[in-house]
Amino acid sequence: MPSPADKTARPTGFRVALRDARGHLDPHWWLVAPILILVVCLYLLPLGNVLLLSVSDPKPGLDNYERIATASGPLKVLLTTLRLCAITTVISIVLGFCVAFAMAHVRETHQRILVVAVLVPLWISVLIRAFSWLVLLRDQGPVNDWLMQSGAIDQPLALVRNELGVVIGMVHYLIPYAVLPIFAVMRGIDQRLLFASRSLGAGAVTTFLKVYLPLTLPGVFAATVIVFVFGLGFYVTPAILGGGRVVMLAESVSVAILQTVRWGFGAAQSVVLLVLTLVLIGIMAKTVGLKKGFG
Amino acid sequence: MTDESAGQDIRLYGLSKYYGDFRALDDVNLHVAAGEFLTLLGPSGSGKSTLLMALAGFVEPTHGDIFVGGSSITALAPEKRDFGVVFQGYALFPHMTVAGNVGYPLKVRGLGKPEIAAKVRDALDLVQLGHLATRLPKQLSGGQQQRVALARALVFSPKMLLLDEPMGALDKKLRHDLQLELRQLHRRLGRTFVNVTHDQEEAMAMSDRIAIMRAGKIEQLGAPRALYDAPETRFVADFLGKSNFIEGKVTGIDAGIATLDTADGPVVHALGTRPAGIGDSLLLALRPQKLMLGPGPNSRKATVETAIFLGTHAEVSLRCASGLALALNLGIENAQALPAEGTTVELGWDPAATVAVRPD
Repeated sequence: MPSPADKTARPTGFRVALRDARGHLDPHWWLVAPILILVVCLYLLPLGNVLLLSVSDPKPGLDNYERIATASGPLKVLLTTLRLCAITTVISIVLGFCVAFAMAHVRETHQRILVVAVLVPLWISVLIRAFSWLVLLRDQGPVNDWLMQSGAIDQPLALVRNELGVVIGMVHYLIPYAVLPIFAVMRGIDQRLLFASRSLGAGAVTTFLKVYLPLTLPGVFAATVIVFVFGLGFYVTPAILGGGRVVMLAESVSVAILQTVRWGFGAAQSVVLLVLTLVLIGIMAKTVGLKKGFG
Repeated sequence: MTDESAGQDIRLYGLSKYYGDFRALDDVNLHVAAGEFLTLLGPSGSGKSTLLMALAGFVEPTHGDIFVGGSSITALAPEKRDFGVVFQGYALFPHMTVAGNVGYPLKVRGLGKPEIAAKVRDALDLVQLGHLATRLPKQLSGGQQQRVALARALVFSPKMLLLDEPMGALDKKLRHDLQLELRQLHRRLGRTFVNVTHDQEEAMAMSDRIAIMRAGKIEQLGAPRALYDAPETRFVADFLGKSNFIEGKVTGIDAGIATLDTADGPVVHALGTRPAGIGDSLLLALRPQKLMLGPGPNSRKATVETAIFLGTHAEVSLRCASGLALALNLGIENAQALPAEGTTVELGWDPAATVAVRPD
C-alpha cells in the first residue's frame, strides 16, 4: 500500500535530501561514503588534534594565542600577511577586472583564446612560476639587464627578495582567480541594460559607472574574498621571492613545526589562518552567495 | 522650438544595413508622421528590430539617412537622440528601485532632486504604479515591469517612443489590456510612437499605420484596415490574417468582373482598382470568413476534412476536387450547423471577396 508521501517523492535521480519522505537513507549516499570516511579520518580528526595542540602544548592554556597577538615577531608576521594579501588583492582585482572586461566583450573566437590564456598558468606548478620570476627579476636578470642597457637605470632595481617580489609572484598566481568570478558575472549582464542606459541619455562613461559597474559588484566582491583567502595561505611564493626577508603566516607555521619544533605555537598560527579564512568565506556566503561567487 | 508635448516626424532615406552579404535592411524609405503610431510588423529576421535599433542609434546603418523633425540624426550617439525606448524584456536596471529606474534619465540630465521626485511621481501615476515606487524590478509582475519601462521611457518627454516587442513576454489576456492602454496613452500624449512586433493582432489593435517588413524591405505600408482588405502581395495577405489562394487565367472581362479559369472551374472576380487583361494569370487571395456554405456565386463542391468549433467561430478545412485546400470560417450564428467531417458540401463566395495579389 503506497503511503501519501509517494505522491510527492520525485525521481530518485533528483533527490537531494539525506533521507526520503519515509525516513530511509538515500542509497546514493553510499557512493560518497568512502570519501566521507577518508575526510573524517585524515582531515577532520587531525584538524581537531591541531586545535587541541594549540591550547595544550607546551602547557594547557591560551599562551600560544597570546603570543601571536602580543609578541612583536609573530604579530609582525600576521600584519605582513594581511598587508601583502590586501595589496595583492587590490592589484589582482583591478587587473583581473580589465582582463574579464576584455574577455566578456571581444568576439567569441578571441574570447576562447583569452580564456585559455587565463587558465594555462593554473596548470603550471607554483614552484616553477616562483623560480621563473626569480630568474626574470633578479639583479642580473633580463628585466634589469634590459632596463640598464636602455639607460633607464644605472643600478639594478631590487625587484625580488623583498615584498615587491612577493607581490609580483602572488598577483601572477592569483589573477585567474580574480578574472573568473568577475567574468562569470559580466557575461550574465544583459546588453540591453547598457542600451537602455544610453537611450535614456547617459553617455558611455555614465553608463559604465551607474549601470555596468554596480552590476559587476557581486563578482568583484566574490573575487576579492577568493583572492584574499588564497593569498593568506601562500607559502612557496613568499619563501622563494621574499628571499627569507618576507615571512608570511604559512611559512611561519612551517618554521614553528619543522625548525623550532614549537608545535603548539605552529598549531595556534594555523588556527588563526583557518579562522580568518572561514570568516571571510562566511561573509561572502552571507552577502553574495557561494554559488554566485564561484561561478 | 516646437511644443514639447508634440511628436516629431521621422524620415528614412535609403536606409540599409549589411552584415557581410546579409542585408538586414535593404534600402528602406519611410516617412512616419508627427504624432503617428506606426508598427513595424514582420516575421523574425525581417529587419524590423534592426530598423528600430538603427533609429535608436545602436545599429549604424551601412547606407542611408535618418531625419527627425527635419534634421539628420544618422551620426548622433544614442544618448543624444532623445528617444524613449522600451526594450524587449524591458531592460529595467535590477539594482535600482522603480523610482530609481524612472528617475535615471532625469538624473543623468542633471535635474535637481525635488524636480526628479515630482516628475517620477507623475510618470508613475501615468502608468498607475505610484504605490510601487520603492520596489525592485524583480518584485514586480511582467505587466508592472512593462509599465515601469514605459514610464522610464516617457519621463524625460522624448520626441518619440520606440517600442521593441513591448508585449513579447506577457500572456494573452494581459497583452490585450496593455494594448488598449498603450493606444490610449498615445492618443493622450500625441507623441510619435514606433512599435515593433511579430504579433499581427497587436499591430492591428494599436497602430495608425502598419509597415509589413520582409527580408529587410517594407513590403507594404498602410492603415490596418487597408492592409487587411487590400493586401498587395501574397506575403501580406498571408501574414496579416490568413488567406486562401486561388490561381487562374483571365478568360473574359465584363463591367469590371473578370472570369478566370482555375483548376476547379471558372471563378468570377471583381477587379476593383487593380486592372487586368484577358490572358493574364492572377493570384486571388480570399479570406476564410468570406467563404460561405450553400449555393451562391462561385459555387463549387468540396469535402470537409476537419471542422473545429472555437467558441467565437468555427474553422472548417475543405478540399476541392483539384486538391486545392480551402480554409473557411463560420460565424457564431452558423457555427451551430457545423458540417460533419468527411461529408461533401457546396460553397461559394462573392466576386468582390477576392483580391488579386502579386505572387512572391
